Amino acid sequence: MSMRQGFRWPADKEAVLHKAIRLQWITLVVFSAIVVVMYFVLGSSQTMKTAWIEDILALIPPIAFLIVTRVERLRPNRTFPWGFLRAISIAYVVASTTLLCMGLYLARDAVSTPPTESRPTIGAMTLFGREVWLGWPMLVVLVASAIPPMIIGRMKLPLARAIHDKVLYADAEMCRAEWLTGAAALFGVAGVGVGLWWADAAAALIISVDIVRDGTVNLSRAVRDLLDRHPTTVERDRPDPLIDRVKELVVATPWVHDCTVNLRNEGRALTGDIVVAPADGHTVSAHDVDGLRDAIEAINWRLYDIAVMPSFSPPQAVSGAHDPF
Amino acid sequence: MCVNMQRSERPHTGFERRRLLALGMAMPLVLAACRFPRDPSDTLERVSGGTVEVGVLESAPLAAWNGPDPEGVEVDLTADLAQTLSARPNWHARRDMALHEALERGDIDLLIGGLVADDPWSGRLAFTRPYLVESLMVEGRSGRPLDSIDGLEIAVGNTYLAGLVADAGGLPVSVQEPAAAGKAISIWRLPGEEAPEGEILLTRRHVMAVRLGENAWLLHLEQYLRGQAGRRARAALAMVQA
Repeated sequence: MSMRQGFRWPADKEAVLHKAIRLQWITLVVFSAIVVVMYFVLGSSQTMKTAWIEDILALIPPIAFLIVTRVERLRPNRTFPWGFLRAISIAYVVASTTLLCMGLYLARDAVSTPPTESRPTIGAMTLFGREVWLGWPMLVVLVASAIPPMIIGRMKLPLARAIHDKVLYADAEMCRAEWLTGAAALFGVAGVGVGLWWADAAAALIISVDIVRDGTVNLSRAVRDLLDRHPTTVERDRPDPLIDRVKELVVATPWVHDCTVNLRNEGRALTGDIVVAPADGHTVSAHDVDGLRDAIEAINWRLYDIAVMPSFSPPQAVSGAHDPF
Repeated sequence: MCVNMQRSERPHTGFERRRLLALGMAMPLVLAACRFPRDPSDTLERVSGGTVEVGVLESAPLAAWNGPDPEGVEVDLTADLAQTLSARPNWHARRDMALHEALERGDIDLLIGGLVADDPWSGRLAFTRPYLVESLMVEGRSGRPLDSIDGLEIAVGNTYLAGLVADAGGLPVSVQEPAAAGKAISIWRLPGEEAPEGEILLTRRHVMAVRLGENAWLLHLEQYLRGQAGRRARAALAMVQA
């Protein structure tokens, strides 16, 4: 087996990557600060505990991103001839499994306390020499801690699209969804304030269900990726337009009569085989094959390590679009 | 080959989201208009101008049953607190656990009498933060706390104190023993004040308890205890000590 060339980043994408790395460090700092501030106003509220743990969990995707962007750029070697591009998908599986498990644990925690014992007690706190109800600082911290993630999430989305990064995209979406946690937590604490003792557990349940949802959606996406499903855009609702562009280019090549384009995602890269049937009377040379490969890889920076294989009988396209997940 | 296998993802319901968000954000403002926080069982409203049902555990000098009515520093504080609410305290004495359970059920409103912050009932009752800190120490014959009681004979009044003295390396003896090198005393301070110098046998952080979830009542109690009440209690206890 021959060794691959390492995946190359064009200069402009490299710049976006560095911007994303910087943004992830900022995310870590901001979320750590939120986690610390929140710790001081936790009280014995289940809502606050759940929202706090969610903010701790929000540290996982940025950490995964920072590790993975280093690992995936390691060069292929004799032990790993295919390189490390898949590290992204592995990180994605691990991060989403963590979310799912934590979400289930918190949901159980929210519903398992019997109603008689679950009356949340939010006492007093000394603030600037005065005794204030701890619920007030809780509400302030909750509102303040919901805003920065929403802004950061918004900033991450275009970067995730530019460098086709699914982990970053999922992370950005989760950040943007912080408003749900914020609103639910506000409801929980404010509900306790007006004497609705069940509001605390209800809000905690809403937040934990949201964490479960994040975990499930992302785990199923990660598993599908590892199964080499049909490539899609990072937003996941459209087939990757690059596939059609590759097809058009191959079909427009004068010596090609017919083709089968078989592409799959490997991390952010798009790789695979192009089986081409030559036109009648044309003898395919190594120049033809190399030329076509180079032309395909020149379409987009993500097209990588494309194999062009001449054949008189390209395989039939498979039919059906069944998705068990 | 280039078949679209992708199902469409969940639709975005932007309108609902925004409405929910607005609701969540507006809630605290609406609440600020009413009295906030409130009790799920309306304890504070009920006791104001009425009766406070108070469970009193035996724990001299904080609370003690020497007659038909209890007396002690925490009893005085509670009576004063009730007065600020134009309420009358109704004292209850029962076996310890019975009072805890009564408070858990909501049969009484307040439990006092030497409760401490690391109480095993902390998940079932709502405790205030400590309002008074007690350091059990040994006073030497000079009248000053000893730095070490290792090997010294210390006069103690009960077996519990005897155990503490023995743990610290001292030799517990009866209070009648004239040759004792020192006797156990309590030094009282407010939370946040510096601990006294000398060997501390035990630190107790004193609290009171209300029913779980009665947040307005708890807040009222905490505001009272953290105000002048703590200072007054400490002054009263210094008198008792002397």
